[in-house]
Amino acid sequence: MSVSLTLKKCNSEKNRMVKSFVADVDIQLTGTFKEGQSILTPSFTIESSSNLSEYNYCVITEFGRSYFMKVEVVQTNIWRLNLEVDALSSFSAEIVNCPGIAKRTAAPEMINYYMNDGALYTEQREVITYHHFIRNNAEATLGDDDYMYLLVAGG
Amino acid sequence: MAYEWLDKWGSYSFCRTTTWTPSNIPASDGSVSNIIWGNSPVSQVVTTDGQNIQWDVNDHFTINFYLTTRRNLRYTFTDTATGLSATSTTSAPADIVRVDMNWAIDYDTENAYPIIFFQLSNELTTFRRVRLDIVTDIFYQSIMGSIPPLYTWVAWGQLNGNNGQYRCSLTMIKNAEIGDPSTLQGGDISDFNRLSAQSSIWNLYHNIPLGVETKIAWSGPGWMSLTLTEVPQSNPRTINFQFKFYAPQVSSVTPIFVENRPVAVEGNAALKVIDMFLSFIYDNEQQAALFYPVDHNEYGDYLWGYVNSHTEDEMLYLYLWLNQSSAGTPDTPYDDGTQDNGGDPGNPIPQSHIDVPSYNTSGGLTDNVVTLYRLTTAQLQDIAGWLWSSDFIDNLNKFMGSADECLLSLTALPVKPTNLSTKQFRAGNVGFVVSGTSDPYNVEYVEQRFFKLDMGDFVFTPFWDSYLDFAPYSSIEVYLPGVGVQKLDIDDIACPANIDGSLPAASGSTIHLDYIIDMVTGVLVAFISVNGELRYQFPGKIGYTIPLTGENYTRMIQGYVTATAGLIGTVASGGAAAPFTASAASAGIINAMKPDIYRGGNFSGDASMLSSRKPYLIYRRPNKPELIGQENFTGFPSYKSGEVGDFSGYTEFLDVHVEGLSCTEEERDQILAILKGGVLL
Repeated sequence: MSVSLTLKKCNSEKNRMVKSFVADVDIQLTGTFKEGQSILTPSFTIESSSNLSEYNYCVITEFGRSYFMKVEVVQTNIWRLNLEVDALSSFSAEIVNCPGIAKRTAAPEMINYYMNDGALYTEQREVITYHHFIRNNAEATLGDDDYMYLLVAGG
Repeated sequence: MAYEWLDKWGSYSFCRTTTWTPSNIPASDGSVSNIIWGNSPVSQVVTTDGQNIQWDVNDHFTINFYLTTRRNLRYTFTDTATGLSATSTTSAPADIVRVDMNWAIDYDTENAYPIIFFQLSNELTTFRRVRLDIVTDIFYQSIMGSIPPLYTWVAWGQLNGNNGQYRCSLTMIKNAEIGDPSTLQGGDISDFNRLSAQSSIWNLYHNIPLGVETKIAWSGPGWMSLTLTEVPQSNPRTINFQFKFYAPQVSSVTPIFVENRPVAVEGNAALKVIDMFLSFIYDNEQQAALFYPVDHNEYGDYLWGYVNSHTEDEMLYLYLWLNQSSAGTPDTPYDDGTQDNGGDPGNPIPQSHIDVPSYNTSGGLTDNVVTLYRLTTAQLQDIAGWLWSSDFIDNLNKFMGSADECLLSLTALPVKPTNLSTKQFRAGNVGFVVSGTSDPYNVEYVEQRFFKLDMGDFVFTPFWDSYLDFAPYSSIEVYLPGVGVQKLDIDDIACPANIDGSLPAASGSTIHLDYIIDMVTGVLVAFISVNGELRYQFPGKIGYTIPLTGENYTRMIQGYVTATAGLIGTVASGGAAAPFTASAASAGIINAMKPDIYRGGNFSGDASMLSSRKPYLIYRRPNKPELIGQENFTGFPSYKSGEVGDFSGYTEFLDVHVEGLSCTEEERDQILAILKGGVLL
């Protein structure tokens, strides 16, 4: 089976859905599998004069999938590529349409800061402040003067 | 007679009206509107003279419509079992353009009447009908003896299996829009566009060579192929999509089901198809499935879906073929989720409006039984001198032996109502005059015993705009002159409910303080309102009493000592040992460790005049350090539903429905684990 491979240098986290790559260093390879291959963990040997040890990612067009790649040196210019499917990136275009309920997120409009799940860390010290009531633009008070009131029988 | 329409025969539906029911079918011809078409093969568009339409209902009966001319219809119903038939003709005043039929079944008399509906070229919005009244008992026996099952169709979720070079994912028609499989009931293009472009049938159409049978989808060991061929001399240009279904355990060469779909790919917007979606519907109880392609016309995003006829065997084979899929069926194949709010919450109960009371009563001060005079220091001196003079004592009423018997109390209060009236000072019904004159000695006096004092507002704005603004992380107390320090409910202050019982969009409130003071005793109640609604009432007392007799003085001192015993100093209660940990603690642990400090004693009565006379709030909140980029490491609380694409940055999902992905089970498990464990979007 004829296949087209693209070897890449991925500089993203494994759990990032859309990977980013070092620009302008991709290696395009075409060839034919000499033996049966797993769709999820293909492993094969290739000949290349390029230094493939610097590459960690592979896209196989015919499989429609992307793979994390580990490279072994078999001989000079003979490399063994061990691939493990990156399902998250391979199906990212479909995953974005899947419905779900999120526990944590960074999307501002999807954050609910009033849900108490321990996400916010606080110091031991607290802030204690004091605030007067305001009446007619001044601090409200009962009054500083003492007024005398005499209760008299009759009158 | 009581009739019922025979709505369906297996997967075929019959023509019927919404305005006529079988029980009120007119005896003679007449037009009627609101026709609901049946589906092929019975419902037919008529185009030529001599057109013959025949439908063989398996082994039961045959229906034949024959147009001798476009205006003359001969119809024959033949019971296959007995060979009995009924034939009749009808003539129309214009060309017949469509025919259809149904049965009106009379269960009481056990007769089934074929009703023929036909449409004329000059009556395109109405239909005519004719009823056949021959061998209706035979038809009844034939129908009632062999009515095929009625189906309840549900959308099939997705296909899975041994994916290879090509992948073709299924879209999912909504269950509510299946209806009669003859036509799509509705359909929102956004629902069908949920699949990626690379896995859509239309992408395959652009990449598969003509004439080459190509595997496009799998269901377990079975597969589905697509062969595209040009329909010769078609105008507009038409491509035939031939779908074949293979079950290798039956045959790897002969398909179990074949579907041909000619599709116009050019032409005007009403004809041109710009996309196609594939789906299945099934009935688990009947073990039947139908292949349900949906076309997308360019014209107004129009979706056109229909099911071609399937034999009962084909329906069974397709059902078995689908069930080979290791993915199985989702519990709720693309039903709209209900807006479940956890139970069935009703509307919030509107709150009652609670006002600060107003006591506009004299409280006995205008009945001439007692009078409360407001005196300046000079006036007190003048009056004191007069009270212990012979001028007063000699004129005192005989039932009073001395001045102190008519002087009930002398109290100092920090408040004075404005606009007090004045009158002559009198005691024991003896009036005081200005020295050396006969002019009355006028002083202010209090007519309203209960005095309301506005003690101002405080606009409270929560600091963090998060759960940190609420108990137990934040707290608020109030110092009230004449009362002391009282706790308030921070939740009620930070985000008070609206009067209709709902939560407001924004947090914060205005706190207002009123005092109502009894001018005779100094007893008061402090009223705290939040956003104009009374929420707290605290009793207290202000003022100090000046003893007028030795007995008065003794009682006053005893009362003060009793009231204040044991309240000297501050008392701290609560708190816990600090955890021995180097890491920062979440807000809940911090708050639990804090001791509860008692900030005040009894500031009532005499003590109130020595303490601060300005009320104030004590606001306690946590201090949270700014963690730059926390959203990218841990995210923030969400607990909202949406599609994965609605979220961004670091996101953890409680759960996600990934059943629709065109991937293997292992990949599905991997994807779900990452989405639940934390993904960077």
